[in-house]
Amino acid sequence: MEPDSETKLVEAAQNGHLESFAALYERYHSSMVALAYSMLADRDLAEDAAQDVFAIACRDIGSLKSKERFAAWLAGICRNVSRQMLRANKGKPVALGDNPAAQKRDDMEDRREAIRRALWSLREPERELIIMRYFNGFSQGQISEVLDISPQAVNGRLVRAKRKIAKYLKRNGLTGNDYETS
Amino acid sequence: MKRPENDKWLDDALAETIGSKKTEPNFEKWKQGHPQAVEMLTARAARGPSASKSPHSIRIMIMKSPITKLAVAAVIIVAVVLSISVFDKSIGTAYAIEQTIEANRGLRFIHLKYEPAGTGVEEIWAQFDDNGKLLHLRMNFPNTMDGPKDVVWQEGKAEVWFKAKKGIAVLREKNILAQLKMSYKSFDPRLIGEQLYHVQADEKKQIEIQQSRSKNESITITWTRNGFRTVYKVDPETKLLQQFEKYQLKDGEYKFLGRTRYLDYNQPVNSEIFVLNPPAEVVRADQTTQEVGMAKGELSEEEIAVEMARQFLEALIDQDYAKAGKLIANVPAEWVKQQPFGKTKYIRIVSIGKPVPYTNTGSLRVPCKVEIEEKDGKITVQSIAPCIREVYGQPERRQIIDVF
Repeated sequence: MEPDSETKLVEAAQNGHLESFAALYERYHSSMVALAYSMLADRDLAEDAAQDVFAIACRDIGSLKSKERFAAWLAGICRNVSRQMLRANKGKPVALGDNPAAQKRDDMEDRREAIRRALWSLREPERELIIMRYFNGFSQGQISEVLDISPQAVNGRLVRAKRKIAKYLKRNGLTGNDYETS
Repeated sequence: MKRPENDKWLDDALAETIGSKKTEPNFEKWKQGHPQAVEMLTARAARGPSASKSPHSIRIMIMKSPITKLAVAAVIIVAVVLSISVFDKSIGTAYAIEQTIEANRGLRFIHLKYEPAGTGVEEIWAQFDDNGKLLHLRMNFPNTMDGPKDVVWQEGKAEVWFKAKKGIAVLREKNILAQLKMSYKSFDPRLIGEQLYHVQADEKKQIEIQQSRSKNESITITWTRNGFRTVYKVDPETKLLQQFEKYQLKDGEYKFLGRTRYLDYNQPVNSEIFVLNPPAEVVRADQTTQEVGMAKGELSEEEIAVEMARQFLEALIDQDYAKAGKLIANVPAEWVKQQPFGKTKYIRIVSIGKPVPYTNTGSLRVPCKVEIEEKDGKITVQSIAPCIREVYGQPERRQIIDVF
């Protein structure tokens, strides 16, 4: 979508045009689920969070002054909602391998667990990037809009985050060779 | 290292682990679930196409006049008074969550207790500056995997007193500090007030407010969600949170999980509370100023764990307690001598096993067997297992965090 047309959609939504808000919802729903997932590590909770994000956006869209930064504004709401959900659940993301059912698992699951641990060893902004990139295969452009950083920065940070993951996995004995033999 | 973008295996691995079934946005369904939000949006249409813009610029022009400012302020006060009385008459209530948010703005000191005591925090003291920024924090944990520990946080530094181990570690590691603050936030009455306000604004959420009928009866706010229920009690006079209880739905009933009670608000601060005052025998390892443990170098996590276990056992065999202490956290030799492993006479290493992850501490436990000389001179084989982990704030170094 052209930035200009998105700004028009935001302006129309601010003036009460529901179809415009619907278009924004369709456009950003998946990225909000991915962003929430990067904090909550639970698909269902992330879906719930995304629903709440759009309810708040629908209510507060009039307060958005920089219409061209709608996606970043939405992402800010998403982070707040996810943090509140984390607090309400009074816990940490579940992907840290504290699931007792995970004790019996095969090599493949061990490798996935190692990757999940590597992901949760990243700083939050890095994890957001990686999860947005691989959750639904968002483009650098889409990630750039939502995270409010330039496409070049997206690329550079993705490379660095992947490097950290590879290093973490190597430290824990998982390399490309192990993965390919699975 | 190869540039990771060339590592197709990593792309595949990440896609496989994170990749999810496509999300299916369904606006119609969302709309049905959020009629109030939709109504608020569509109501904007009735105010005309420039509703979000023009009044703002007009307001700026009008407010440039000081006389107008005073007049507007007077009108606002009258409007607020009127709206409160209309509010009272129409729904018969005096309390709104906003009053708690307002009361929380004056918080400079809080003291709370959680019960029943479990593996988490039991008691918290927090002090804020005039802008509400956290200045000092103390959290007491009576029952953790490391035994009881008290933590004091201030100026980006945490001091952790491991009471059973008779040691204090001073840390500046960001993740640990963030975890502490995150843990505290679950109890922060200011955040709870804001959360309740937002929850109440979303009509989909189930929140009920029961007004107090007398000065002695608390206002009760009940929030039910996803099989959990939280019941908040608010002081009818100060509007501050008195306590909250959590329940979980099991077998058709809400079972009690725990209670947080706010004991003191804005009491004169005894600054001693934010200072750890351990007995003389407690040793202090300041990891913010000293290099701790051993450099990992090019070794893998398993290799460094085995190497540290070997050096630790050799130091005990040689009765070089200073070296053993350095591998732990730069603790002095005297402290090592007081520990069970410092009082044992080790003869030789029998075996050093493969390191295994030790629960969720992020450490590796190295199972070893050693020959020891008993008091009666008899030689026996004993199991001993040092646990090795990254030094907080010193990612290239490893330390022994426990010995079993």
